[in-house]
Amino acid sequence: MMTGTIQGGYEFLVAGYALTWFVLGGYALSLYRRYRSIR
Amino acid sequence: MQNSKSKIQSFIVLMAVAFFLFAQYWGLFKSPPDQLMGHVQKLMYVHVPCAWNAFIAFFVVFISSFIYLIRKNPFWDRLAASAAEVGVVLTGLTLILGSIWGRPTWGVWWTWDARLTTTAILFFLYVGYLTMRSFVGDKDRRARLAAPLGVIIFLNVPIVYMSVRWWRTLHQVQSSPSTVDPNMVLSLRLNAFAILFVLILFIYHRYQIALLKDKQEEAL
Amino acid sequence: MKSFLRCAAAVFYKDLLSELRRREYVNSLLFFSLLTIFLFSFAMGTEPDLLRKLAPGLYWMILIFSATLALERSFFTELDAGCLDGLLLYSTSLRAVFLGKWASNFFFIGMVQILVALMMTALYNLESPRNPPLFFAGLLLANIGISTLGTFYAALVTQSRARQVLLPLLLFPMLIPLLLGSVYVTEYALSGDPFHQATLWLKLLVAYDSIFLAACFAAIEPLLEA
Repeated sequence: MMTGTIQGGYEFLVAGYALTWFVLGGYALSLYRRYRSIR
Repeated sequence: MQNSKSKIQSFIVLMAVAFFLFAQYWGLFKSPPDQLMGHVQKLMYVHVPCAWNAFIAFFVVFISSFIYLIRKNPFWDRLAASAAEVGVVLTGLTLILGSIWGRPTWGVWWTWDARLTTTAILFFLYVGYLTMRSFVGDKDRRARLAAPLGVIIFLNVPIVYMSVRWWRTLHQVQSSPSTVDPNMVLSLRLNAFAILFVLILFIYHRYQIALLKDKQEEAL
Repeated sequence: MKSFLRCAAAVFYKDLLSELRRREYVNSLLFFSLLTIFLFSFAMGTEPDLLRKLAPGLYWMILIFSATLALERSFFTELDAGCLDGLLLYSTSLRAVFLGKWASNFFFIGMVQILVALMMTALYNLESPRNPPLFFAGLLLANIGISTLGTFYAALVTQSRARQVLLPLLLFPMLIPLLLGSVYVTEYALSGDPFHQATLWLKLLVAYDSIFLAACFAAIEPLLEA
C-alpha cells in the first residue's frame, strides 16, 4: 500500500478540476444553445 | 410576465454559479491536505459530489417513471428524460474523475472497486435508457415504453452494488478510499450542495427544452 | 385464472410448434454456440488447465450471447406477419401473452444450456460437476432470470428499428448480477463446493429472480399497451 505522503501529482488535481468545469460548463452551454434553437 | 420571469431565472443561475465557485474555492484552498494523499485528495470534492448527485438524478428518473405509469401525465415522462440525461453527464464525469484520482493515489487508471464498477454499470444502464428513447419517434409511445424501463433499471442498482461488492471481497484487491477526515466533511458537503443546485438547474432547463419540443411536435 | 393459463399455454405451444417445425433456426442457434466455443479456444489457446479454469465464465458468456439471439426473436414471428396487434387484442390479458413468451424462451434457453454444457464438457475435457444438484439449480435460476428480463426487453425493443443492437445494449448491464451469481455457482458446483460457498450466490440469484419476475410482470402491461 502507501507509505508517506504522495508528493506533487498536482497535474492530476488541475486536470480533474479543469475537466469538471469544462464538462459542467459545456453541458450548460449545450442546454442554452438547444433552448435557443428551439425558441 | 416573460421579462421578470427570465430575470429571476438568470439571477438564480448566477447564484448557483457563484455558490459553486465558492465551494470549489473552499475545497481547493481552505481545506487541509490529506495526510497520505496530499493535495490530490481534493479531487474527492468533485468526484464524490458528482457521484452522489448522479445517483439523485437517477432516483428522480425512477420516481418520475413510476408516477408516469400511474398518472400518465407527460410532465413525469419529460422529467424522467431530463433527469436521465443530466444523470448520464454527471456519471460520465464521475467515472473520468475517478480514473484521474486513481492514477496518482493507487497507481492505476481503473480499479474494480465496488462503487466505481457500479457507477460504470449505471452509466451503461442509463445510456441504454436514453438510446431506447431516441429510437422511438412518437412521444406517447416513447413515454409508455420508457416508463417501465425507468422503473426496472433502478431496481437493479442495489442488486448490482451488492453483487459487485461480494465479487470484490472474493478477490481482495485494493480497498476503497478511506473514511473521510472530519476536517474535510465541510468542504465535501459544500461541494455536494453546490452540485445539487447545479443538478436541479440542469434538470429544470433540460425539462424546458423537452417541453418546447413536445409543444412543437403537437403543433405540427 | 384458467383462461389466463390457457392463453399463456396457447402462446407457448404456438411458438414451440412453429420453431420446432422449421428447425433451421434452432439448429443455427446451436451451431452458433458450438462455433463460439471453438473460437474461444483459438483465441485463448488450448492449454487444458486454462480452459478448465475459465470454463464457467466462458460458458455463461456463450450462453448469454446465444440467449440474446433467441430472445430477439421472441415476438418476431408476429411482427413479421403483421399480427402483433392481433395477438395482443385477442388475448385474455397481456400478462398471459408475456407468460407464454416467457415459457417458450425458458424452454429454448434451457435446451441451449444443456447442449452447450455437453459440448463444452467434451471439447474442453471437463469432468462432470461434482455437485450436480447445485449445478442444475444454477442453470435453472439463471434461466428464469434471463427469460424474465429477456422477454421483457424483447417486448420493449420489438418494434424498434435498431432492435438487434438495442436488445443486448439494454439487457447486458441488467444481467451482470445474474452473470456473477451463475458463474460462481457453476464454478463451485464443478469443484464440489465443500464449504458451501455457493449459498451466497444462490441467494443472490433467488432474490434477483423474484424481484424481476414480480417487477416485469407488473410492468409488462403498460409496456405492451404501447
